[in-house]
Amino acid sequence: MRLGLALIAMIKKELITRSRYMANALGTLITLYLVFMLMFLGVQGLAGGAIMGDGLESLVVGYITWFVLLISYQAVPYTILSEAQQGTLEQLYTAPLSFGALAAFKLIAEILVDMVLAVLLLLFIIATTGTSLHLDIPSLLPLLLLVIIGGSGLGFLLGGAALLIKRVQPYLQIVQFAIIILVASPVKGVWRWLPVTLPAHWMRQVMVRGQGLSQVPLPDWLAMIGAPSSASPSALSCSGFANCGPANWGSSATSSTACDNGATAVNQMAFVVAHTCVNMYWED
Amino acid sequence: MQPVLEFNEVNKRFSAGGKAVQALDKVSFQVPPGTIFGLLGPNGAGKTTTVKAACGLVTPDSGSVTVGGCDILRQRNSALDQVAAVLEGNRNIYWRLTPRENLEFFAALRGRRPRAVKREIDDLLCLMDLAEKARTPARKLSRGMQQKLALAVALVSGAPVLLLDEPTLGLDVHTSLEIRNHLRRIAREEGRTVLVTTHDMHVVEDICAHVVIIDKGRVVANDSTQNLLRLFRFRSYDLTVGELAPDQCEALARIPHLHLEENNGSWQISLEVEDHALLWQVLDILRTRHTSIEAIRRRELNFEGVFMEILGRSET
Repeated sequence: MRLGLALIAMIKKELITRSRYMANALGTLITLYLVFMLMFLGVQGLAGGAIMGDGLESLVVGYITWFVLLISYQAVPYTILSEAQQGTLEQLYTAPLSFGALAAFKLIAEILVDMVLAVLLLLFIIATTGTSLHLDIPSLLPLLLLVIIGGSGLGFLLGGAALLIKRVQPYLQIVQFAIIILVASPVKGVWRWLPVTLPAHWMRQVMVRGQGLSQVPLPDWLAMIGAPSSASPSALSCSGFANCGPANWGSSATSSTACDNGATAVNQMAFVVAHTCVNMYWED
Repeated sequence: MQPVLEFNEVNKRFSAGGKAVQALDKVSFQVPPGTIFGLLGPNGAGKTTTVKAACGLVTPDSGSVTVGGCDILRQRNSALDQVAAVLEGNRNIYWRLTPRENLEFFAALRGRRPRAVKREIDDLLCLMDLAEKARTPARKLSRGMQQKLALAVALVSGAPVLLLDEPTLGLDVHTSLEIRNHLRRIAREEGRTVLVTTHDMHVVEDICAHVVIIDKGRVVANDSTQNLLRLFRFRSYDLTVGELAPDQCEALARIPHLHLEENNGSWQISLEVEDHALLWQVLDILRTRHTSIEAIRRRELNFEGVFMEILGRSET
């Protein structure tokens, strides 16, 4: 019951804050739309007026997938940074709930609200560019969930780093562009083992080519659900994250708890890398 | 009486700038239920680390901290159920939410349903004079109001132990007095335990029943406020007396901690007494030649003086 109340409270807080600062949300939406249009017009210009084949549709789906990935990976580290700056991080940490659960609730709350933005963005882009996409919701939802889980896994890792080194913001900004690789990578060889790459690929297949989930081969499912792609890093991060504490925030000295947090984050990264290598070996 | 908060030989070492700092050095004390307990010390003494250890934000290197009988590390959630902290004053609230929304949010994190705490929230808003501002975002409130809201957030948790780090810092006299009254009421009427860290000795003298003084991570005093005041209250006397004979001067000079000074035909005797027998001894010496006593002034130490005295002793 307590967890349910906390989740509802977190969603309510998110809705109140967003509705009170509607201009910010609209600004984000307009910026993302303009960035896409610049890309779209630029590509069109380079291509001499037309984008061949399903290039435009793939661009739209890739952009939306990148946006969903962005919001799911940013939620946790940015929450930690802003709550620490505000002074409320310690309040959350002293609640009789695991901080991992609270961070997950915050993630869910943010994603629920941001998905509205993602849908609006998609509709605007479709309306402007005249793109035709297959919006097969039952097929898209599990894939979207895998993208979100993969992104949030990265988010939890960076959240651990945010607790440890505080000034993690510049790196977060770099990562937001680096994750384009996850969406745009080919699904061959080592690339298929990157988090989010396969779910992003199958989102394209569903939305652009009208394929269904039944056409996803078993090895792809295993890769998507298996440890290196998405679910495991997130789960590991969540479980490890629960042990992280903001002990180093608001204190002039660095505590051993903070070092523990760093070790947890590094361990998680090491585990993901090691697991990926093992799986690659197994695949070969 | 079973203590509601207990520190047992707690050690904590930080490394700052390559140097190891012993923030807590075998800190032990017990806080009985329903009291307002002061935690004092100069800057960097370890007060905030102590408070953070009490709410699980700092993990001790050794020793244990228990809240309501639950170990803060081993039974974290059960221990945190019994404690609420205001660590950064007015920064402990969401500035984008209204006071009511803040209270509802933090109550929910403690497993309290909004409907079940509605009445309590209404009462708290009235009590803290925030009812009129219940729908104003917290960022638009004055600092004093934000501080009161932070206190209300701690109260709505329903936790029996409140940890307040500098609750009156930066507040005007009126608001500081209001907060002190609230704390007194919380302890008296609701039976809650309040641990307060402060630099304001007026606050200590006014509301704290018991104090622990920490210096360089060590507990240097642990007693009731009244006892500490009593211990130091009668120690210093200033006497202005008439002409003294040489033998009287000699006899007085033999008394330890006595300072003698001639001043325009009269003499000033400053005396610090460990026990009152010495004061009688001085009076006996004056009586031998019927020396007139023009004035006796007892120098009373307020708590600030007591605090400085204790810190001075811990230095030596």
